[in-house]
Amino acid sequence: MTMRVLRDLVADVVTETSSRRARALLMVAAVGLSVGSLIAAVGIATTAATQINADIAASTLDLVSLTVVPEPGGPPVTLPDDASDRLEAVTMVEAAGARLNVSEIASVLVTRTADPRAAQIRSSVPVVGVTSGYLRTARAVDSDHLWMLDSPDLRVAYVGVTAAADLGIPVTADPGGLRVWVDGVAHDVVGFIEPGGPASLERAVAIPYAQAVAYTGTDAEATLLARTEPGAGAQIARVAATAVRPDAPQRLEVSPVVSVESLRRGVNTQLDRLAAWTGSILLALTVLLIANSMVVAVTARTAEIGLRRALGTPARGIAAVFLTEGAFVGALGGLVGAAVASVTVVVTGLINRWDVVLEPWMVAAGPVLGLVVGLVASVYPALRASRISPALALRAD
Amino acid sequence: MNILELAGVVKTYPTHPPVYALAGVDLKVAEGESVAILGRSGSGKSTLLNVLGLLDEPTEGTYRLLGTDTGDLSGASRDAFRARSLGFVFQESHVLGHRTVRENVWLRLAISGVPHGERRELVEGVLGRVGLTHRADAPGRLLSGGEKQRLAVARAVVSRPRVLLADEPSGNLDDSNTEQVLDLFAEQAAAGVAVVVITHDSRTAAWADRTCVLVDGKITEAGPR
Repeated sequence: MTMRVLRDLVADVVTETSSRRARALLMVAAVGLSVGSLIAAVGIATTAATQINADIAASTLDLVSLTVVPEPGGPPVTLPDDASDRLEAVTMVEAAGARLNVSEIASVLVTRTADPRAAQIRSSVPVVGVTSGYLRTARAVDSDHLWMLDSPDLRVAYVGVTAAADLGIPVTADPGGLRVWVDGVAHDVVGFIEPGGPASLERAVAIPYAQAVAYTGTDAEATLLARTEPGAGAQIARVAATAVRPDAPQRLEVSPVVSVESLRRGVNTQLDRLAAWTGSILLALTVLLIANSMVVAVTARTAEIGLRRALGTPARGIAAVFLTEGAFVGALGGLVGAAVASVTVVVTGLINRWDVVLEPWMVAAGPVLGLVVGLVASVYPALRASRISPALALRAD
Repeated sequence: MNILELAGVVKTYPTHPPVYALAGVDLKVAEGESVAILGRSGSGKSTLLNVLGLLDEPTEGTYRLLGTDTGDLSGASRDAFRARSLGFVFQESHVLGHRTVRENVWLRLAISGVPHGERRELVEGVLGRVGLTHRADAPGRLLSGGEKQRLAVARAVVSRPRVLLADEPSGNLDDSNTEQVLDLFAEQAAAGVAVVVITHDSRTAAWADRTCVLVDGKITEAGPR
């Protein structure tokens, strides 16, 4: 191919493209979005994977647990009264609190009435003593009454929802008037503990920490839990024991806690964002592709448009033809897409041995989404078609 | 009674330099009259047909159609006028090739707003008159040139327009098919339809009641055949 031929060819293409500017722009946009969405999808997936990695790393290192190391012949109580405050005073510690599993040391009976002989309403529900800081740290309860747990005189209890079911206590937003008896002593129920979180307290009855220590006489089974800023767990673990017991840090054993709940939340969030962004880009691409196809269709059907106008179809009638066509094709495409997607999800799940999750509403939304996308995409082609001069259109052949 | 009446109609296209397609046209066509417009390429014939068919508006002058000054009509009213009162036959028949013969005619009735219950009878009737009953279910693209033009006539007249406008209707036809189309036009004229035919064809011109010659946007000669 000589230079002259190449130059003529390029000039010809430039003239052709510039004379059909709208169509050329739509095609450029469609190709741009196709390539862009491919690169963006890969980029977003890589970014999300990196973020998930970071979240996993952070979520395994934002909880620090301190347990008491028993010392034969030593004092029965190891943790100072202000142990939680000492931990919270450390930079990058967001919350801290203490927990004591009473039932592992003493036999404590929980009942629904003052009479422990009422066998049918007795239950072997474990009792734990907690400070308000512990429930905040574990994110186990969202309540305005947590402060009551820090008072040694108030006889109150938070009841786990499973324990409540065992005891026959209705789980309600307003537990006023409800009581449990711990070792024959009445405690007002001030709230309920939902399942989940690192504390796993849904099977227990939680009473003020100080009262738990009074029951057992020792804090040998106590745990201190601290929540740190994301990723700061390792640093805090190094200083936590000294912060609580500067005189005898060896009496406390420190270990980071893997927060499965936090890990799950973080991964879910990143995957949701990944799906939303990739989906949005693909949706925009679809709109452009449909619009482009319809502009081509309008051009190919110019003579028909002229004929329809000559027969008396008003301009808005021409627009309605293309809008309806777009909506119809879109809805049909959405239906096909939903079917293809359902099969793809199931097959992918089976191949990878994953539990398939396919929400019915997502499948049902396919045709609706297709209809809306088809309608939006056909607005410009419909307007363009309605503005075609019938006199000129009839000469299009 | 004059069905259509042009007085001093001028059509200018604002290009550089401007194009004076029609330069003061006066024309009257009565009920049941057939008029042939002759002229060389570029003489303004198609522009005149577009103005007569309400596909284009005159720059100056008045055009009265069925007693209505079309200059006063809104775009929607012009569309409604076309649907109700005008029928078109073009040189390129503009048959929709992917639709059947019956569907092509049906489309016209749908656009004209003819009630569903009346359409079938009208379609079958007009296909019988143009001799296309046996091709009613054939896609338009499979018709011969003559059949396509007869279908175009059927589509134009099925809604019983008052004016039939034809642009070179026999331009692509042989003698036999030209004769068939002109017979169909004659039927319409006999039924009181005003027929205006733009043509190069001397045979078509000879068929009309009256001929007009358009030269440089003006009718310079008019008279009965």
